[in-house]
Amino acid sequence: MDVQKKKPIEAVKAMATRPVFPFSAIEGQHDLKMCLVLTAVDPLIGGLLAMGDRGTGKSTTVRAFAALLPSIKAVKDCPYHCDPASPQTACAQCRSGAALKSETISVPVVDLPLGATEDRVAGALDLERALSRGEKVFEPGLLAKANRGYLYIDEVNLLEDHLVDLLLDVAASGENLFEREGLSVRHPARFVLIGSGNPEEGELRPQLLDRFGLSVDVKTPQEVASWVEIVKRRDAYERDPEKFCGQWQEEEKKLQQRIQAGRKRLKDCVVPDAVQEKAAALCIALKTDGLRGQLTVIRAARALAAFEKQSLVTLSHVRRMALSALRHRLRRNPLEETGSAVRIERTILEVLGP
Amino acid sequence: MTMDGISDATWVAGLLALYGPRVGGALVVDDVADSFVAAYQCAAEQLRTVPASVSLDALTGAVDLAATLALGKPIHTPGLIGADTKARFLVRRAERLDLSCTSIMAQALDRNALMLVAVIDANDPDVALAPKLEVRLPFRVDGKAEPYWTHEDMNLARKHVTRTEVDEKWLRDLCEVALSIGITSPRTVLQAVGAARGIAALKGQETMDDSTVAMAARLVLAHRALYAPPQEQQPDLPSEQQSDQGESEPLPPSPNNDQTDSSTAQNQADADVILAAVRAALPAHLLQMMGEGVGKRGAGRNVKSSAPRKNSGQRGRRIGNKRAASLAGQRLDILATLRTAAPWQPLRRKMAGLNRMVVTRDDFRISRIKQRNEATAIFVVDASGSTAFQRLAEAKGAVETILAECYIRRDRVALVSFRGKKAELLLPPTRSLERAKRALSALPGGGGTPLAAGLDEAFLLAMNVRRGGGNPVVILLTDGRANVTRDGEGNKAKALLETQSAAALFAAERFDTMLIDVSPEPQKSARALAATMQATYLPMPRASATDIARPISTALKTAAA
Repeated sequence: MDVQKKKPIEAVKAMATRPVFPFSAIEGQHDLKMCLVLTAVDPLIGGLLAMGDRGTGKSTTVRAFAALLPSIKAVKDCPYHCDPASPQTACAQCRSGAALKSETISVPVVDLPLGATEDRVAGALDLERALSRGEKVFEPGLLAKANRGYLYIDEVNLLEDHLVDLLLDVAASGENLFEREGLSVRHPARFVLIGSGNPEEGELRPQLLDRFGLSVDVKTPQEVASWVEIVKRRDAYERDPEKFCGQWQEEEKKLQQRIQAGRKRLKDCVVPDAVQEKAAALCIALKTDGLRGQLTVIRAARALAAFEKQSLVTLSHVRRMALSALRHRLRRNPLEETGSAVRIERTILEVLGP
Repeated sequence: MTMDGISDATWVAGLLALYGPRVGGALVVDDVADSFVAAYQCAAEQLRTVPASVSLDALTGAVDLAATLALGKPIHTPGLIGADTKARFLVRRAERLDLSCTSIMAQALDRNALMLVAVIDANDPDVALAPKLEVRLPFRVDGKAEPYWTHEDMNLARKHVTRTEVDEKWLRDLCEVALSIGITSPRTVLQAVGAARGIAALKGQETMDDSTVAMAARLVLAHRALYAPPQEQQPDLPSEQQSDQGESEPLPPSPNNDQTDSSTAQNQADADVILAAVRAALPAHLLQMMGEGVGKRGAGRNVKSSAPRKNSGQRGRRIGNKRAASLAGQRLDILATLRTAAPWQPLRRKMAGLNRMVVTRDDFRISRIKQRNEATAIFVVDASGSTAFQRLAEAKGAVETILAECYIRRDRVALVSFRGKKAELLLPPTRSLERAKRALSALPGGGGTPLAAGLDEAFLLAMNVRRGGGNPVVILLTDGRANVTRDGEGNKAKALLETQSAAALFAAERFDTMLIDVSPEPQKSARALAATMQATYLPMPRASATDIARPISTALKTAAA
């Protein structure tokens, strides 16, 4: 199967100016990289929250990951890039029954800048056409652009409340419902939410926290050796991006193929009842609210197994994913001293055994 | 060459001229900004002056409404930061950049599409550039620069710059030094490597020597140091002098001295050379801190970004529309605009001879937006000896209860405490529970009662919050018995006078204030103070933490409404 097909012209242009730092060349950050990969293996895991200090390379890693994603088939000229193969998730236009042309595009990865207005995020009446021609047309916003792809919010903890509300609605329903300015539009908006931020600058609302499937604590390694390696690679990249990316192309391709193989294997991956029960016991012991935690543990464990070319999910997969899937879901006393990571690790040991 | 006499600022100007958008940019203190810009511009392309009030549309490009209407077809204005343009910005009062603009600029810096010279006001310790931008600017300039470089120099240096190799040995040394002075991100080292390569090129060298690397370390690493590097030999006395007078005069080329000193012990010495260079350029306060043995994270410059939360009417809930006096940065209510224009259409079409919708400036309607005011609870806790024993624990308990509630309602909390001789801002306004938790548990008690100093600190903070568009609610927990003056003197009469004048300010500014009397019996002094401040007086002799918390949370709710 050929992965690298034609990309849309803009993407190619952007690539021509400066290729993105290769994902595989990012030193350290094992957890973050693994979780990102798993969201690609199973998008239903539901996104990733990466919290850590400034300069730990969160944004770099996410942007690099964007470039790695395999391309998808989409309806040509559809603003929501609907999937031609699945009409039930398509927009009204694509469902109307007209013959659809399809094209191959790279997975959309949309940056939601802090301080974006609601118009830009949800869409708005098309200003140009309304004013110059008096036509009432909907101009899709960032949510439309992110359909079937990724929505990345840097400093998600500083996001304004009314945008958070909007995101929560859309993330829950997979649809953006626009009822304003005399327009009534409903379009699909299914995306994987990626958020990053610095915990020292503010907290996330619990409702939004719960929307993220996995969460990772990002730290910069403190050993000289890894710093040297980071700086060396980055420096080589800065000096000659094309050459550097060329050197890593092989790695990138391998990883891309592994992700695709994992995707295919996913539906054949079996989660034995015993494993399900243990995962449930873990969630009960941790008193996580609702079932989403347990669901995510299982999904993440399955994605991990699929990525590692196994078709049977074992306790070890659950053990490895439990922290990321549950860390942000514990009901917590806001002034409690110990972090939830310690609590989870202790409980994992108690429930799942060593 | 006589390059040894060039000031650090001049070097930075040269590096910016050499690299352009590839280097990120520099943070420049406003006293020396003009000299720096002059030094830069005699060797490179002009900087584009961008006002700090620049709108997001201007940066990213938008539809030009007036032109669109006149021509009847969409006209786009290109943004200042284009997809494939290399922008060079000079932003004065850069601390005022809007949150959304800093995000866009940070992204552009990451793409190497922008070089930013950010000028900030050095006299106000409360302002700082948004941290997001600050970490992306390798240099900080606070000395004068001279117009030393020419276009010729740059052309020559550009030939060298790609060829210069950086030894792994130097890399390792830079990383070691960076880690030893508390630098948290490898990005800083990367910036130093780029600077070193540039310096070598400007010197006309293709290999790097230790003076070059030391210089790069001084320019890039030193101003980010969180604590001074471990001292090995004699205490570095001259360094303090240097950083004091180094403002306007070029620094003596200390790396060279060190080089000759240590040339006997070649290998081991390299890292020391870098360290020495860094130490020589350390800000004075770090050396002080080293004496006290503290290395607080981000201490000293961890001040809030003062990006004013503009009531720009762009965010929030719509509550209607109004006629637009000007459209600058406003959100057009299109439907209302069209509705206003509709009745005139037949007439206008006839007059203009056009067969389309004719909308004029008079028809513009903008949305009226209601922004939720953010309440900031400023706790001023009397941690002096008289309070400490009986009530400090209860005060802490009250703060904790409010904290948990603020967390739910998204209010911000700040914490000022006073004891002994001075007041201290323990926690700048934050929503972060983690930090609040830490600040609170570290709150010590005991000593005199410098009430006036505490009030001053709280007043400043409240003013800052208000300036930023928030609603401060000051909650003072004390028994009102001041006995230490602003200067830290133990003079009861003077302390009382000072306290009264400080308290009167709160009344004058009509701050929402609450005084919680924490003494075992209600005190006259506290009641009098509350009267002067026009504060709500809450004697709570035997109250529990939750009892204290209840009236406060009511006040916060009204402030946030």
